[in-house]
Amino acid sequence: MAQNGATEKEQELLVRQTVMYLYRSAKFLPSPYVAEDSSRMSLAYFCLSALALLPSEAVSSIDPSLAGVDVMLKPEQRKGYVDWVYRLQAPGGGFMGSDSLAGTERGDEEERSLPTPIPLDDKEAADFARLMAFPDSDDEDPPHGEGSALPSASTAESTYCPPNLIQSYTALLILGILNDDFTRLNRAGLLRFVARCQMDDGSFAQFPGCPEPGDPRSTYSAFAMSSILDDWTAVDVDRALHFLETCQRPEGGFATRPFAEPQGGFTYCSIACYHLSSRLASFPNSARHLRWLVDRQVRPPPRSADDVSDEESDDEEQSEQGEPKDMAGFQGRSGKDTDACYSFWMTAALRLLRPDLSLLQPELDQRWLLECQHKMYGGIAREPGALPDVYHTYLSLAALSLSVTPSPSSAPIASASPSISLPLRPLDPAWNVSLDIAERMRTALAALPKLELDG
Amino acid sequence: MASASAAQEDSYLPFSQRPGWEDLQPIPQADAPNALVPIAYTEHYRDAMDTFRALVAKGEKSPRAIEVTEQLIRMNPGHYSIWAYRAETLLATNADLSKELDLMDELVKEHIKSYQVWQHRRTIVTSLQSSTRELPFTTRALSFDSKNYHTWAYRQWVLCHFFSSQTTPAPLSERKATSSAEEDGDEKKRKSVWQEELEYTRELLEKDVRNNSAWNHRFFVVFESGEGGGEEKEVVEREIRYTKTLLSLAPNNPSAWNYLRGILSHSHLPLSSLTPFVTPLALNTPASMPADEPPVSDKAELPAVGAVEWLADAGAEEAEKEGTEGGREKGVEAAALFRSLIQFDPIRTNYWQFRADEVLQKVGIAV
Repeated sequence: MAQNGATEKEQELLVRQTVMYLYRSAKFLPSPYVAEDSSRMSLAYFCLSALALLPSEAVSSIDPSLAGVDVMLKPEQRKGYVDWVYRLQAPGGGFMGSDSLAGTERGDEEERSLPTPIPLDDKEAADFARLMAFPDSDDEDPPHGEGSALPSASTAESTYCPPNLIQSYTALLILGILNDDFTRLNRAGLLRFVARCQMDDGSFAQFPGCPEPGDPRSTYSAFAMSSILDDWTAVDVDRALHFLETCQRPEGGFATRPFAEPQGGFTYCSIACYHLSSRLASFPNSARHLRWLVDRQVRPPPRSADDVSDEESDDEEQSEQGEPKDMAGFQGRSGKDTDACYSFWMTAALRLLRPDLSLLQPELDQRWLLECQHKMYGGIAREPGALPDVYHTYLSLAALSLSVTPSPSSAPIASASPSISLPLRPLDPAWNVSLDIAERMRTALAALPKLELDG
Repeated sequence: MASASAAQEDSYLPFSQRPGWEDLQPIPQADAPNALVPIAYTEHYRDAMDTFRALVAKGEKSPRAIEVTEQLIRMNPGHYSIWAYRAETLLATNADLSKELDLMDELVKEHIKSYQVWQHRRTIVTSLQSSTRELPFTTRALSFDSKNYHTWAYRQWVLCHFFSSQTTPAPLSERKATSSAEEDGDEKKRKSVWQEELEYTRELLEKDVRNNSAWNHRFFVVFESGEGGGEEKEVVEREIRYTKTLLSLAPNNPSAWNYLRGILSHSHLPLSSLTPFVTPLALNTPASMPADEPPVSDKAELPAVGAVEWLADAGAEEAEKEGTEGGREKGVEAAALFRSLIQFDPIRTNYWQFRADEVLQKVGIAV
């Protein structure tokens, strides 16, 4: 393997390789992604949102002020992608994660062979009405053999490819990144869908009737969409925050459900909900959570002998001779190893609680994340030596962007290493998309006619 | 057809050419021409999905559906629709659900991080209304991966759903009804399950005293489940003693310090109530550990960051209580302790400085 090289020079963000890696991924993903087949919307968001953070300079001389996503996508490609997203808009509102079940809704052979955009015909409307009338199930299915609340075969089809809160949230951001005007967005339907996902305990199921209990990820998606649409009528904020409060843990941080172990992703989602709903003033146990977040920055584990070259032995990594590169990433839970994705979850959470990242050491994290890059293929992996993927690539770039971008209310970050150049666009840490895209989305959505609320 | 030649190449026989499947017309994926992130499906996955779509379109709940969904979840354990259809088919065909659990036992080894594998197990177990396999099963899973998040969440669900008398995370109507004749036996069983659970966390911590998942679970069992007697004074004392003993052996253990903080916060006790135990670990004076506290191990690396932080926080707590009048001295002391942490924990340099400044400000000293 080609090692060395990068460790001798000062590190840099491999902009060109990373842009190409993301562009390739948006067009085609290798077979290991089969396991994410039902969440392709999120995979697409990781690719495009990353291209919106990266500059275009390394791949194009058209206009250095453009982002990677602006120069990489041809107009017809952009339009085709927008059409794909809208094809996954459910008839009654909300977005599905993929079309892997498309074609199963209608029994009709001819329609099946025609991959046309989903029409809102009478049959679809009737399916939707049935879906909406279907009572929310609770956590479990009824006992075996008894009158099942599960849909019967004749009504079941539409429930196999339901819209989903997380996928809907990422769909909105993709549309924003692709500069869509949102005129095809079924806003009223989306809000109705969000409202129907909220459960009695305040949590949100990923879709009505989803057997999996809700966790802070789906609450976050519901809040982020309410914030993006600037319409909070679909969510009961008090009940939703009450659920999040029950997910707090004594050591600090938030868990997937009450009593479980606190973890970085759920903690970010929870804190972002307080931010998005302008309730940070009543954020509970703030000092405890702050301490928990700051405690998660740790040194990476020494790399195993397989991962390092002969000259660069294990001993050397840890000992006095040949001082190892000073870096520190983030762990997702106490006592776990560093993983590149937690650089985002932890720093973004902290950034929402405080005006800047001055309590952390952003430059130590920058060195760690740059070390996780794949020198040849581009992309960023969960740890050095692992294969990159679009999830870790995006979240690492988002973390790097936060680490170099001062928030509007604070001075530039003094501790950021001047020797590392990170030409990334500023990120909105609550919506999780570049600030300029967020701004453009606000403008586009505000230009739409006001929603008429029907009974 | 292309599928026939592909089949020859890797000797894969598509479902539609297998005996008993000829009547099904596979439905290819209707992807848009400009789809984002199309995935390079393997021939096996594509064929099984095409077949699955055909079954779903027909609404066919049959042994065939059980077969094809098994193939699919082995390749893609993350697809909600496949699991949902499988669960419905199993219930509709009165399939042997204990066999399904055998399959889940096997699949979880490879797909332990898939949300759906665990949710499916929950669906099956709820339908079976039997928990007998579940705790031993999660114990086995945790023996491979003692910090696996899904396994722990599932174990807590099993405990709450089947063995809790007080907390009712699941609606009452869905919990197993017991007749009064059963109750005594059940009550005994229930109590022993929670007793064993406490013992289980002790065993795990004996193997790895820094297993934060085990500490978190212990807190749940003792103080949050309503089954651990967490309000009683002797339970609180027992847990404090237990944690102190483990800290005196390995004082650089953030999980144990956090557990101790959790107990005090739960019992509304000030941090300073443990100062006699914490001070020797913070000041590297193990010989001065009071006789009624657990003795410090020779191998303990001192001073322990968790102990210094504890003393600093305890001082800050008291300084804040006394305010700008009497708290100045304690505030200055706490600030010095926070700053002393910088040399032992340089990653958090800025945080320790922030904590020092914060406590000084609270007692009215300008920084």
